[in-house]
Amino acid sequence: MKASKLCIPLAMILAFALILGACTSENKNNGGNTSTSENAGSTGTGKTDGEDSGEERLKLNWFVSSSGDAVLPEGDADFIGQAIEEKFNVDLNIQYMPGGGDFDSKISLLLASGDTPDLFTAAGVASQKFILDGVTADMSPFVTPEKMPNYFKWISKTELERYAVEGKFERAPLIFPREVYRSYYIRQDWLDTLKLQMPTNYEEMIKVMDAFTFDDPDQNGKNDTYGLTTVGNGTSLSFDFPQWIENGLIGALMVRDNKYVDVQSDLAVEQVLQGIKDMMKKGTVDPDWFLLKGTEHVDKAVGGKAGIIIGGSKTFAFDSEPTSIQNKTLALNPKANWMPFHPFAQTGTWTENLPDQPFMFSRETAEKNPEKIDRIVQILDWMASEEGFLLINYGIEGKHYTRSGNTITVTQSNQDAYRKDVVEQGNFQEVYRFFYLHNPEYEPLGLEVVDERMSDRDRQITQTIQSYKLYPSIGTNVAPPVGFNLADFRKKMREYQVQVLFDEPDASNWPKYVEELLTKYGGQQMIDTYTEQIKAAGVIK
Amino acid sequence: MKQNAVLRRSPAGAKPLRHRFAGALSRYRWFYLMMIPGLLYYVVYHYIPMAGMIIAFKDYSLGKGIIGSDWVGLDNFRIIFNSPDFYELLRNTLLISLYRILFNMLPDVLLALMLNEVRILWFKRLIQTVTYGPYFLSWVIVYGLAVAFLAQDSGIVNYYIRELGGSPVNYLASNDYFRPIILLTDMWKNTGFGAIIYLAALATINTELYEAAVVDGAGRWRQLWHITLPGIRDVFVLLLILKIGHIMDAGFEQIYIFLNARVYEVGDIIDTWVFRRGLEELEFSIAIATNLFKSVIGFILIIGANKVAKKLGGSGIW
Repeated sequence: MKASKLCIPLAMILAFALILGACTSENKNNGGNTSTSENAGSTGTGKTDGEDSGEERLKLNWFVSSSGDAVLPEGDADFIGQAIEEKFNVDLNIQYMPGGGDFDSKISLLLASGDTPDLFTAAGVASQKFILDGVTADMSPFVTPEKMPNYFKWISKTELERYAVEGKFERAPLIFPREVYRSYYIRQDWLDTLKLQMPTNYEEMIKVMDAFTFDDPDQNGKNDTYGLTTVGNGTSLSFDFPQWIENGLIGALMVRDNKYVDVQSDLAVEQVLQGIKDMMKKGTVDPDWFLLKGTEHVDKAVGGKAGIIIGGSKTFAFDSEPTSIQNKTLALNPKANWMPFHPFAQTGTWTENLPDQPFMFSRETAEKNPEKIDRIVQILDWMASEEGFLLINYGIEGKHYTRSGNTITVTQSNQDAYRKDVVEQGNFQEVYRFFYLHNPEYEPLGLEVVDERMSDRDRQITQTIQSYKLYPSIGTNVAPPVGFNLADFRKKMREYQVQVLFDEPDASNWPKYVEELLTKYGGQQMIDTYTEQIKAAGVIK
Repeated sequence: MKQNAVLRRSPAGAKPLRHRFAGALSRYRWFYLMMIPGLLYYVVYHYIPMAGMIIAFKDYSLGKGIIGSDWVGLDNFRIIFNSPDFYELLRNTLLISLYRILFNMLPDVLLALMLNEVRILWFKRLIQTVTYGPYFLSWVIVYGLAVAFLAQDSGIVNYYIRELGGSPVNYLASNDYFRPIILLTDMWKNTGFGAIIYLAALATINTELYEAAVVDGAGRWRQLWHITLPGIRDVFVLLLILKIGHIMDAGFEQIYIFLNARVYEVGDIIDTWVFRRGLEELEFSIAIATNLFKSVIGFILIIGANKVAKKLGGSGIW
């Protein structure tokens, strides 16, 4: 009897303990790599002979976006984190996750709960919201050319000013690439088979697409190839269609005749739609394009279904990139050869890059512990310096690269060491590379990189694409008016576009739809607001 | 019951009530104690968070927090009801939900009844396992299968249509086929699992009833009509009421994956709108307001359905 009486409360305590245990372990997961960085921190505390030895050791919390495969390793494999912690006398606790919806929710949650990270990154829309909601710190005392000389080598003062939201200097762009590697790629071997020349303008490109569709470029006796493939994600009219630029519409936002143009809802889209309709009717574009998602169109091109595709990254068709479209296609067809071209190479292939995602400081930290922000600014400026750049992007000198003067050389054995020390340790560099969006460029630092694995063909591709002309951007980042529902506007716009494309006999209804988008869905309000913002930046008069 | 009645009439009426409560409390103290974790769970994770719903009436700002944000009355609801596509969304949501109730509950029952008639045990088990297997696949995979079958260029179905000389149909991007595809894939994925509940109910039917019916000369159909179906009626009604309560949820996960711009007209539902608006644009107040609206409708419907079920002679959920 007694035993059983004891048993029940004991069982309950046990059950409770289990529940609590589950909670705490979950917290740990959410907390990212607290334990790791603490470990690393404790190894660093012993020797405080860094630059700031006089200052007290600070604990910093960061929340940054990283690529999905990156994990900070346990122990001392993370040489970047160690370098920062020793150099700046800090305990660095970095939480990281891939950007996107989950990232936005998580950072919103952290901000709402008051558990604000000292430094965080965010997507464009989210950062505007955070600034308007007043959770971010004024950056003017911190992000200055005096305090961050290295950062200002990458980002100009004008860019920084124009990047402000409603006149508030509370976000600063992460370092972004200047070069645009967007290009069409074509099956050179198909061109050779059909005895055609590399197209140099729109008409020639259309002709080649016809030939790729009807003249059996793969010589398998079946009519199973297409000129172009692209991806619509089930929602949108891909910018990959050459009809956009042919009709004077470039990029997503542009300035035409001293006026802001919302490219996708412009009246000229009528001709774009008509052009794509004609092309679809002819059957020279992959009929599945609209529902393809992500990189499914690349798979189709690899499978020899289409002869032209757009690639956005520098290494899209490199020999030295194992997962490039070139190597994937070669595995199936030893004759395949993807080469870059652009029908509008002479006149303009895309708009110049604008600042992309920002980093921001917590308002709470800036008010209570400004010394923390000061220390973060020092770290970020170091990350933007040559020393930081090389460590974050190329690894340790002598081990992962060699250097003579301004030339960085990466050999195959360097690459193997890098694979062992970094990639197989969780590819942790990607976490710190949050500060460098996309392909980090070494040119602004006056460096030159010789990658011994790169083939002549790779260099030729790079050269071709770098020779493309770019249009100027709209010069400033814009924010939609408060209360305007961009999501509804874009959704309706896309709905009309695909309706015209798939269900209507021709594109003549487009002007009517534009009218409705501008009035009923508030598009005019958006255009007016953007126009004002671009005017304020001094890009148009 | 009788004892209680006697107690109530006892002369020391005022005191015993508290006494009785204290008595019951001490007598069943371990049971009450055991209830605490469960209750706490509901209080902490389900009731306290409900207070957050006040942001449906506020212009929620991260900086000011839930308490500090400005009150805006019913503005958020006005925004929702005035958004140009709201009634289309509402119509799609209700229609898809109703179709789901109709075309998902009946196949569940049908499969359960058919399995119930199978006499060979290993065969029955096999079929049961095979049919509930798809339940564990995620919608992304199901969509992948749908594409493999139905894509315009590379899908199997269209391949045969072309071989037979027809012209291919873009099923996944067609207003006519979208809802049937949603329902069919849902049926394919969930029917096996849904049947399990009915099978459990069928297992509880007293076999003596069947024996008695056989003695009375009832055939298979008669047995089905008079014994089997009444046996699962309560479960059916229970599930029906629960589903009616969720009529404003048309299955976000599935629709979100299957949706594309060509079928917005028939497929865009409230939840996908909330997703775009609330999460992609971070307008939390709008998202909460919409969900509050949905919950109120669901609450009213569930109470109403329960009342109707009770009136019609069956038992409701409570």
